[in-house]
Amino acid sequence: MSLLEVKNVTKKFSGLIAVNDVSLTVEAGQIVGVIGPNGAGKTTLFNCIAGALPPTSGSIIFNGKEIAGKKPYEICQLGVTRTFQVVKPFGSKTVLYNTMVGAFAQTQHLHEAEEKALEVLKFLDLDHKKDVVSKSLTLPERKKLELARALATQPKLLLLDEVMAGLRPSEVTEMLPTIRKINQTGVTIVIVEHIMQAIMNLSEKIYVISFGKKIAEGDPHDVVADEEVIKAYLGEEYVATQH
Amino acid sequence: MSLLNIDKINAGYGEIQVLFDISLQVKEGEIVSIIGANGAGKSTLLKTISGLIVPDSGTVTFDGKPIQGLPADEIVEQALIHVPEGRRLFSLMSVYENLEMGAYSKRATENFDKNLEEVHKLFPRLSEREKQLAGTLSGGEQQMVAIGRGIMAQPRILMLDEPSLGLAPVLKKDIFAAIKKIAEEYGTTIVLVEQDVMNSLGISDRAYVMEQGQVVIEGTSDELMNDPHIKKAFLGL
Repeated sequence: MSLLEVKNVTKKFSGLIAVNDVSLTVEAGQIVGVIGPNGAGKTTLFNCIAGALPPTSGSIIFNGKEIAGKKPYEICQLGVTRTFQVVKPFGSKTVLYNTMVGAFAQTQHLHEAEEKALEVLKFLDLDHKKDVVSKSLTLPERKKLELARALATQPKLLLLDEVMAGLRPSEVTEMLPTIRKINQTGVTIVIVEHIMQAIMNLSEKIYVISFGKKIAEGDPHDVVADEEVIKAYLGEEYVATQH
Repeated sequence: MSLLNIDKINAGYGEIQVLFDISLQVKEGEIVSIIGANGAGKSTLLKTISGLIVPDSGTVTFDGKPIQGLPADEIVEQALIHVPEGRRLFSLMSVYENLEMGAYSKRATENFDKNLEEVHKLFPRLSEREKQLAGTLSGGEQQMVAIGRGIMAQPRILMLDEPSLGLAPVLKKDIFAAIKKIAEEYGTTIVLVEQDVMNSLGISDRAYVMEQGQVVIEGTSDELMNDPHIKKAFLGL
């Protein structure tokens, strides 16, 4: 059984079809990438999986259970957690406090939440900043805090929405091993990212979405050789002239 | 000497740095394309040139004078004109009124009639639709108004940010043909930011390829047409 099965999911906003009959499967333990030009529907798809938006139609099976249309906190408690492209921690609160907010998804006890938060911060090498108010963090640190808060919810499946956007090339290079390390602890990862070298490097499988539709899937090398993908990224004529 | 010379520009938004040591040159009369995938920094570069962003370091020299850090309106006054991504028309104003807005500067107002005639010659559709509200036009027609508004400002350099974005293939051809005509007939220097690689290389003399805020490839359009590294810059592999 696959960990996540998205079957024929469609999301319409009145006349606009943002996600059009998209299906994808994620096996436990994988890192799967979702790419596509601006406005392709990647974040909307994430919103449907994480429960921020109910899909108009289709089915989303996580760990054997239908989660389409469930509330975000219910989906989170089942083990699906997402990060946001624009990180917004509680700025006047400490790193530890922010991370504990995530931990409360699975426990109601203060000391357990604190213990979990400290464990996660240590894992991400952010524990030395635990008493710092989060608004004084640098951007790469805030991105890490976003990961910490997500990991504190103890996800089986982590949805990363452009977690590297805004980072310098050298900071992106430093982020890659962190994401792999999270994956190695048994967390399955679906990642949306514009920084192609990063996503191609991390993912064992890539889905490509364009204008709401899935246009390709496969390992990174197959996907970048796919004509539809090249058309979507470099224009119709590019394919024609390369023959 | 280059008409526009960009030297080691570092720029971004607050603590997020987008451009890293960007250098490029545009000679008078050239069409130069800047291509690259989403997030490469192309629009940020145009905004830095046109004064919407003040760079952290580096220089932008236009016609021998440094312009980095000048307010955008003074840069318009020097005839360096930016047609923004997504058209940004005044949607509740007519086509004619939108074109009028382009001629706001004194330099352009003096030649209003002549420039309007040029715009109508280039895009006859716009004279037919003079009184129509811009927001009710098709995507292609809106792009014509955006470019027309730029011409009304009487540019020495016209910088176009993704003019073909969201247009059907046939309309794309028309827009690229019009850009070529602007360069050929009026001698306007063109800086063209695009993601449609072949159509933009097809009309330009030279091009720069950007990836993650840096220039990774530069050359003549003919050289770049067959450069396999372009695909890598867009797709990462």
